[in-house]
This record gives sequence, structure tokens and C-alpha cells, in this order.
Amino acid sequence: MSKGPRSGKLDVDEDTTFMRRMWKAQRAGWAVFGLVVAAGLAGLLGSGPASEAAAQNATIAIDYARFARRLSPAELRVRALAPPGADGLRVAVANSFLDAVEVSAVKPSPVRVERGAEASVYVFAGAPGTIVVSLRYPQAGRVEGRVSVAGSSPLAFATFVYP
Amino acid sequence: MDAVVRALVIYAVLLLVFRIAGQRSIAKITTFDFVLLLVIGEATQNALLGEDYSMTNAFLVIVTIVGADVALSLAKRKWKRVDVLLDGTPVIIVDDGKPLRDRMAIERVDESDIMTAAREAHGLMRMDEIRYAVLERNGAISIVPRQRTS
Repeated sequence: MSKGPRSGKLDVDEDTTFMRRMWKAQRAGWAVFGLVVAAGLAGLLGSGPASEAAAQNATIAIDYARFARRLSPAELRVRALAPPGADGLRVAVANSFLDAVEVSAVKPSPVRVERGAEASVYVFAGAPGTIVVSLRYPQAGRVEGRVSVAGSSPLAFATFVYP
Repeated sequence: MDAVVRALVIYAVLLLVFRIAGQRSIAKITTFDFVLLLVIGEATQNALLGEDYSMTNAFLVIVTIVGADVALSLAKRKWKRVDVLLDGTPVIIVDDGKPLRDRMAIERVDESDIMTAAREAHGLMRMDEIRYAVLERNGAISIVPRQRTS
């Protein structure tokens, strides 16, 4: 054990070997702090540039979050690229997704919701433009969703929910 | 991203507010100071956490604030200017037994505070037994007694 100055006379329980290791660990910890803050700023731990994602196919486009946090407000934006049908726009959302989230609001409001075996169809009057779905994730983990303009090919997306 | 920004803004605001409020030692905290701290904690909570009750948010906010504190302490060591700006400098308030009243008034220290410190640290009885009294950066008063002739 390396001894500090005067430790022969001073009655003190100094352990420089241990403290040197401790100091090294602290410096490393500070670096980890920096990485966590950087990841938080970038959006890897929730909202932020790295989390914002968009997807689209021929008939539908969505903006969603790659990363979200449990019980915090989140949004899903849906835009139909195909013209609405005779009785308005019909947007189908997979039931597995709807069961995994708590939807608090859909704007504009749908005229009605038809729940089927695999998916629920939200029926909007006319051409509603961008539909904003406000929701929360009650459980941590990966949540997969599928949306489509009813009858067209579905668009799949996934969000990782932090605890 | 917003969690980090919120934490940094709150940290900066609190730093500024307490710096403007002036030096006060945590060792001499009164009951009311303690209540004040609790109220500030309550008021800050919503601004810090927003509507986000996840553990990730709490973790990120804590790491950001503690990290900012570590970064500032490193900055203080590196740049003297930052150190003085954030913590001020010591102020001499008694010089050779004479209280410097203009300084004491600005720092809100009175003679009884000085005598309390003098009794506690050295068992001094009178102001003229003090050679220097210094209001330190942490708000404590340190006393240098006159050489006793007995």
C-alpha cells in the first residue's frame, strides 16, 4: 500500500490505493454522464431529432416516434395520400397497436369507429388532412403498429418505449 | 431532448436566483430557510418533469443536473474568473478589532453574528479581542484572534 505524507504520525485511516481506484471510477462515471446527456439531447432516450421518424407508402404517410417513454404524452400523425371514398376516409389501425396504447384524443374526430377482427377502422368525413392521434404507452417495451387506408397495403412502424 | 433542456434551464435559473439572493451558510439554516427550500423544491418539480412520469425522464434529469454541477466545479478550477463569478470572494468584516460597518451592512451581517462566531471558535469575549473576522465564500464567519498577552 502506498503511503501518503506524514501518515506515520497522523492517526487516519487513509487507503490511497483504494481511493485512487475510486477517483478513476469517478472520472469514468463523469464520461458516462456526458454520454447520457448527449444521448438525451440527440433523442435516443425519448423525444429529439434521432427519435422523429416518418414512413409512407403509395396511399398513406405517418410521422411517429422511434423512442418514447412510458406514461408520457406522445403523438402519431397520419396523412392519407389517396383521395377519400364515397363515405369519407377510412383509416384502419391494427388492434394489436390500439390494445397496447391509451388513445386520449383523435383530431379531427372520426365520425365512427368500426372494430373488426384484425383492425379498427376510423371513418372520417370528407378529406380530414393530417390526423393527429394523442396517446400514451402504458407499458415499456417494443410496440409495433400497422396503419392503412382501408383496402390498401398497410404501413408498419415500431416504437421502443422506455420504462 | 426537452428533459435535458428543462433541467439545464432550471439549474441556471436557480443558480442565478441564489447568487442574487446572496451568501448564506447552509450551516446556519433557519426553520424558515428550510421551509423555503421545500417550497422551491415543490415549485420546481412540475417545471422539471413536465407531464412525463417515466423513470427514464427522472434518470435523465438527475444525470443532467449532477453533470452540470460537476462540469461547473471543473470550470471553477480551470478559470478563476468563473470561480469568483459563481462563489464570490471572502470579505474582511473586522480589521484589528474594528468592525467595518459599510461592508457588514451590504453583506447583512451584524456584530452579534461576529461575536457568535468568535465565541464558538475561540471563546473570545469582546470585539477588541478579534484581529480579523472574514466572511467566507460559504457564508460562514471565520475569526483570527489577537495574540493573547497573558
